[in-house]
This record gives sequence, C-alpha cells and structure tokens, in this order.
Amino acid sequence: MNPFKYSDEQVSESEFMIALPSVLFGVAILSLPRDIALVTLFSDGWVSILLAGIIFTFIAILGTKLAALFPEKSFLSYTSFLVTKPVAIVLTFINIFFTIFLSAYSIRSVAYISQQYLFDHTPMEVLALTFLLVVIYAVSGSRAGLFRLNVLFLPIILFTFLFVGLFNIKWIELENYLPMFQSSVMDYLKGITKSFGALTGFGIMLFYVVFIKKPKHLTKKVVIGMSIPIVFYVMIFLVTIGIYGNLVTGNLEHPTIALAKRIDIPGGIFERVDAVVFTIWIMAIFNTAAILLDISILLLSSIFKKMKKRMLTFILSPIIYYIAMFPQQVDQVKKILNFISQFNIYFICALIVGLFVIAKIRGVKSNDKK
Amino acid sequence: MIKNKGFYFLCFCSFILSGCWDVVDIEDRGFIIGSAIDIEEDEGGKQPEFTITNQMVIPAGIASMIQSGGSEEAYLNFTSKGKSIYNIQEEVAAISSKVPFFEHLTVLVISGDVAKKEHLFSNLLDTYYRDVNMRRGIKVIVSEEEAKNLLEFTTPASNLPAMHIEENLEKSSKHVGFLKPKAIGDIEELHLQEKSFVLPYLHYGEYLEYKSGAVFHGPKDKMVGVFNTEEMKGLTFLEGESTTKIITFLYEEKIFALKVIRLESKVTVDPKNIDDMRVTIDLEIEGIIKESINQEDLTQSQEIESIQKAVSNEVEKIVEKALKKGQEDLGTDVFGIWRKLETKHYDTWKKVRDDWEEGEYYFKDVEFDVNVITEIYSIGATNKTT
Repeated sequence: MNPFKYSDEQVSESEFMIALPSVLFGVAILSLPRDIALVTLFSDGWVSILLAGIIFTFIAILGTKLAALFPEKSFLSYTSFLVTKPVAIVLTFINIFFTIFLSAYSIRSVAYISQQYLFDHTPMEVLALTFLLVVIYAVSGSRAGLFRLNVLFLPIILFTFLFVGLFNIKWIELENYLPMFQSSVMDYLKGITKSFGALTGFGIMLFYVVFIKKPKHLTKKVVIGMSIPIVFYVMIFLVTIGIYGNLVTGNLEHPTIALAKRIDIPGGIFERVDAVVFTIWIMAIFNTAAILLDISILLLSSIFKKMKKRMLTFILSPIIYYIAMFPQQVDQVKKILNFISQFNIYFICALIVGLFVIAKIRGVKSNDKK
Repeated sequence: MIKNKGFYFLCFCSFILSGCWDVVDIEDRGFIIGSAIDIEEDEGGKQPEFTITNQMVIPAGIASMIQSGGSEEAYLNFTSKGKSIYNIQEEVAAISSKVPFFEHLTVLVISGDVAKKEHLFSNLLDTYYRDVNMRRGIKVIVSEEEAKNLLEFTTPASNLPAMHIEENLEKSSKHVGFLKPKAIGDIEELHLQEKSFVLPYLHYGEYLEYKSGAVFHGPKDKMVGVFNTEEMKGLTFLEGESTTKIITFLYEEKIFALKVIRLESKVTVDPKNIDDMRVTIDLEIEGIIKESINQEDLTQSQEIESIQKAVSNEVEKIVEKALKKGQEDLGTDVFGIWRKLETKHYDTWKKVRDDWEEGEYYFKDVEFDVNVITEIYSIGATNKTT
C-alpha cells in the first residue's frame, strides 16, 4: 500500500485561500464569545473582533508580499538570505516549536471537549490518540491532498456555523445589544488581545507561498481568506450575546456549544443539533491540527534535507502526543494554550514586519518578471 | 488480488477492535422528562435535605395507551432523598435498572417551600446549569403544594404528567395570555444579574391550574410573594406580548368581554431626578367584543367610544394594581424598569444599579403613570341581545 502520488505537488491560489480559514477555525471558536464578553460591556465585543481581524489581515497581506518577493524559495532560504543562515535556523526552530505545541494542544482540547460532551467513559488518552492517528495519516500523505481536504471540509464547516446562527435568530432579544459603545478604549484593546486565540495560524503564507503556482491575485485571495473567519466570529459573537446577554455569555464555558444546544427546529424532526455541530467542529480542528503539523514537518525537512517526510512525521508524532498529554488539568491546558497562542501571534507579527522591513532596506525587488 | 499480508492482518484487526466504549442501548436508557424538588422538614442543619422525584417515561406504557385504551401507566416516578441533587439523580440508576438520561428533561418543579428559602433556589439550579447534558430550555415552575404531586397528575388526554404541565403552560400563555414560562437559561441570566422575576405558580386541585405567579426578589434571592390572577394580567399587559388576552369589564354595570387582538406597550423612563423617577406606560389595545349583556345599540359611535373608555379604565386599574403590589408590597422590579434604564439611560443606571432593589431602594420612589388607549375593532356578528 504505497501512498498515492498526485502528479503535481503544487497548491493553487484558491486552495490557499481556503486553507486560511481552515487553520483559523479552531479550538478557540467554542469559547471566543465568552473570552470577549468577559472584558467588554454588553455587545461591544464585536468591535474588538473586527479590529483584530482588520489588523491581522493587513499583517497577512504584508506576509504574502514578503513571501512573494522570493518566488519558489522556502522560508528557510529567504530568511537566510535576509538575516544570515544561523539566525534563519533559529527562527525556523521557533516556528517549529510553536506549530508543534499548537497542534498538540488542539489535539488535547478536542479530546477533552469531546469527552466532556460526547464520550463519558472513553479515556481521554484514547480519544487523543485516535485523533492524532488520523491527523498523522493526513499529514504523511501528499501536501496537495491535504489542501484539497480543506477545500472539501470548509464549506461544510461554514454551512454548519451559518445554520447555528440562522436557527437561533428567533431567540435573540434585541435588548441584549443595548446600550452600545459603552466600553472604554482599554476594554476594546483587551478584547483584541482576547481574540488572538481565534486568529492563531494566520501566518501560514510565510511557509506555503512557495508552493503556489503563478501567484497573481494572491493579496485579494488572502483578504477573502481572512475575512471569512472574521465575519463568522462576529456573527457567532453577536448571536450569542443576543440570546444569552453579556453576563451569561461570560459565564458559559463554551457559549458556541450552548448556542447549538439552544436550536429547536419546529416539528421536532431533528432535536440534537449539537451532535452534528460537534462532528463538524472536530473536522475544523482536524484541518487546523493537520496544517500546523504539516508546517512543522515542512520546516524540519528544510533543515534536515536528507530525512524523508514520512520519517519526520513518525518521529514527531510521539513527541506531539507526549506534549499533548503532559498537563494534568484542563486549567493548565487552557493556560498553556492561551500563552502559546498569544506569544505566537506576537512572534509572527514581529517576524513578518521585521523581515519585510529588512527586505525593503536591502532593496529586494520582486523578480516576477524574469 | 492484494498480495500484501499486512492488508489481511488489518482486515482481521477491524473485527477484534470494533466496539464502543460509551455504548448505552436505547432500551437501557431511562428518559427523564420531569423532576420535582421538595425540601425535607428542616432539622436545623445547615445543609438541607431534598426529596427529588424524577419522572421516567415507559415507552411501552405509551404504546399500550394508544392501542388498547390503556392498562399500563406511561410513566414511573422515583422519589429519593439526599443532600446533593446530582447524587440523587444518578442514584435513579440503582433503583430503576436504567441509566437516567436527562437530555429530554422538560419541566422542573420546585416546591414553594424551597423557593422561599434564601439562596436555596439559585444554588439548586447549579447542577442543571453545570451538567453538559442538560438543555437550557427546561421550564421551571413553582408549585403551591408539594412539588412531587404535580408529577402525578394525568388526564385521559395526556398520560405523561410532565408533558401535561408543559403543554398546559404553553397553551395558557399562547391562548389565554398568561405569562410565558421561563426557561432555566433565562433564570440563570436573571440570577447573575440579581434581578427580580416571576415564575408560574401552579396549584394542584381538581385540575392543574396556572393562575398565579411566584415573585422572586433578586437581591434577596428568594420567593417573596404571589401575584394573583389579576396582577398577573397586569404584568402581561406591561410585557406587551401580542398574545390573545381577554378583558372582562363592567360597562353600565353589565359584564362585557373584549378579546385583545393587538397590544402594544411602551415604557418610557424619565430619569432626570433619580430620587423621583417617572415612568410612563403607554398601552394601546385593539380588540373585538366577544360578550355583551347589554341592550345598547353598539352601532352608535358614541356608544363605542364610551365602551372604549370603560375598557381603558379597567386596564388602567389592573395595571396599576400589579404595579402597586410589585412596588409597594413586595418591593420587586419584576416589570423590567431596570432594563429600560440600562439600555436607554445607561449613565443614570450606573448611579442607581447598586441601590435599585436594596439599600437606597430607588425603585420604591419610582412614580408610575399609566395611559391606556383602546380601540374597538369589531363588535362581532350581532348587535344587541335582548
């Protein structure tokens, strides 16, 4: 049983556009309304999400521009060109560290949450292992295949969250939105930092632009790719606030699941929508974890050129499992995940802006025309 | 043919590895549809002891009801005592030989004695908020008598008491215009905000009657009184829900009945002076005359006009009565005036929110001004009856 080989290992622009929301929709979507509602007043949190979205879309565009300056060059090679090889290797290792940790903790979170809601008796270790095995299976195959899997899953994910939003409209109480704009500037800023968790992974273009054949409208596609999750986050936040109000949203562990549980389709044909939402959410996490893991393997193989991709995957997987299972309590998992995703966002922002400035100072010209 | 031996090995594995850790057959599940919480007589201890009745559906019982006119009961009630609600609920498994399944719980009945104990009610609900298997749409009601009695009342038309309660509540709010029952999710919100609210207060007599409301005081966190039928009516007028309502009133000392088809209520707060806030309530009613024991000529517009006035006066009286009871006797803002302040006059609300229903008690100084405009839309199919 040899792995199937695609004739081309390249990714089209649209496939990349779809990979962006696939990575962004992750663990944080379940608790995002709560995190934001806790630091803002009434319904003001949507401003924070939107602002954060706009800021990161700009940085994402910057990142795309940066990577497009060096067509067909991997992250390691163009960073070594910009900031010397040793520094580039250090940067690559930091990125590997982040992606490994992030994918490990999304696996841990999916295991924990599905144990909470779906499987009472199945041990979490087994759930995490099963999930990890599926992710490894996806990653050890072809990269183009992984991207096509994203294309397959994303519409289903979007449809499900849209469904959750639409079928809850009748429960919305408009009074929950008022009064508007009462939060202070500090509150909005706090809200922005709280939405970082839901935006982790927006820097994937740094590593993937090299695979895109003939990038032409990449900026436009990146803008679309970034705005899909932002729009959905704002929608989910507003629906949650409309139904539960700020106080209850801040008090719920996973407001998005509560939203799914609230759905009551007339006629009682279909009572437990939350089960479907869970399944789809797990698909979303699968995309996130798989892409993150794929990036770490991509970066590792750019350093260890002699190692085969599958070999690297098999070496990494026990490490990931160990990292995922290391914390004992949920509280620790949340703290670590929160810390790492915040830190990762700052790092990626600094990286993109820094490298872009250096590239401009050095006067690197886009050599598309060649 | 596939020659790889590993393939056959994997196929074989799929036979021995299949299975499900969490499997519970549907026959083994006990669907709990209603719960009732009573309190044991206090022995002075700090932790009160509860008696909880869980109602489990017997699917076979329902089937036999439909087919043969009913010999078996469709439900089973399990009553047990304990201090932790969750513990009692899980123990249902030990006495019923089924795994209790709470996803379909629809009604939670609390006895009046439980509701009147300070902080008890909100603490009791904790397990219902916390358990991920509980839905947030569970209806909560208060019973005048022992709560478990309510889970025993069946009629030939509906053989599941919990379902009967739920349908009863729904019909009385939809067709008679009683206050909508509150779901557990709404109550969590009100508890977090420490605000007063009204829950259905059921009386178990010849029928199961939803006639009055249990008034809960927010900051005191307990039930402080009861709204009778008329006061409940006044409250629903304020909520302005477009449900069908019937107003009976006296016109020239004769009974009239008016069916409300459209109701609009507008509450405006004038917060200029926080020690003496003025609240204006404008009600607009459109209705159809359904009953008139009168010889007047209803085609005359003067006649209609004075009837309209009579209706307005009657409604004004009802609403003012409810306001008076809520404000002066019970000291609870169940009318949602605070909500108007919070959403429309947030700056004022920030000043008074800590002393709204306690301390300075700004709510007690609020003055109400009720204006009602009635329009009679139709007089029905006939003019006079003599």
